[in-house]
Amino acid sequence: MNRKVLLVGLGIAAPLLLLLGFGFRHDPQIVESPLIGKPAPNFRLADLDGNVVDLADLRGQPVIINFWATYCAPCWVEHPLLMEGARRWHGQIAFLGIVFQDDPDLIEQFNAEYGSWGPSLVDDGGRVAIAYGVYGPPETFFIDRDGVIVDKAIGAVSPDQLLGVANRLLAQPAEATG
Amino acid sequence: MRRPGSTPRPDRRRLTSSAVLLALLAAFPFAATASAQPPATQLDLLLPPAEGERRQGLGVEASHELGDPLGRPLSGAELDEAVAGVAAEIRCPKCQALSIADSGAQSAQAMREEARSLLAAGYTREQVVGYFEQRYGEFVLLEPRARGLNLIVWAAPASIVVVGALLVVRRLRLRRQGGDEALDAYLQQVEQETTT
Repeated sequence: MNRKVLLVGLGIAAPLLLLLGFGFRHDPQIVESPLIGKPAPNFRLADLDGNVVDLADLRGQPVIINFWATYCAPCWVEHPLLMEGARRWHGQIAFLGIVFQDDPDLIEQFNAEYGSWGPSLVDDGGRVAIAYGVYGPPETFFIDRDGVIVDKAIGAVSPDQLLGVANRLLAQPAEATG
Repeated sequence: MRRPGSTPRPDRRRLTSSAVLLALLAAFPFAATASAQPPATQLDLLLPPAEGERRQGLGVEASHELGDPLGRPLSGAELDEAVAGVAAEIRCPKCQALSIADSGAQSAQAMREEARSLLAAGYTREQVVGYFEQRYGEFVLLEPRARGLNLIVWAAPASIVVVGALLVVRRLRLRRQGGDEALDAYLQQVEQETTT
């Protein structure tokens, strides 16, 4: 084969192969959230008992928001981990659950049977889920004391991620918040 | 006459042009994943309550780039038409291959309602599409924006046609200018040698 043709071919193929290699390292199902590093959309939602939670009232405290549903298998998987997290960081990190397109009665049954790690807030019309760009449950948003989204988990949150981000959130000095 | 073992010029050109075309075709899948993040702003806006919202006083207050409505509030058939227009541009996050106009998923329905409430409040089509893009990322747009690596998607089809046309024109011109003289001479020699 002519050397010039070989060089031209290599010049074209090498970047494409690199691009392919880069592409194979990423799960195409995972779409990076454009909200990371931006202020968390504020909301006022009521839980199953009618108690209203306003996210703005939690400013100054780290918040973990989990969109979940009883029909979602990974939500069952991560449930014990969130229970443990809510117990370990009680009073330090606020855990909020937002019900994603599910029947409140089923949520109530689930909580009664398996326990609850935080208020199950009802998102009528799914507007909060849209504001957070939720593709499907479970999705977990980690919000720092300043109300900024610092990380997001798609699918069941892993112990490593929960521990790592929670420690990062708690390490942020409380007096530095504005 | 062509030397034995040498590569003829037309083959080399063909190889190069094939490599260029292959490269353009192979770049297609990557262009679709390309995205650019919209810049952050600090604007706060209390979204109007959605239809069917059971508990009064509840809702979402989003920080985004919507700002003030730049259009006029729509209603009736005009609103329906505007909602359909926006819905056709937005990908259903649950089903991915469908627009929210074509999907019956609950998420798609919620997004259509969101688009309706925003358009009814006077937000323009661009503002509403931009709102969904800020929340979900550029992936939510069925038609990627013509910028960055996405330009490959827009430029590749036209480029392929132009490159192909240029190759055809060049080939025809070469033939017209006697570009195949060497080949003709070679064939003539073969014919002579085989007949004698």
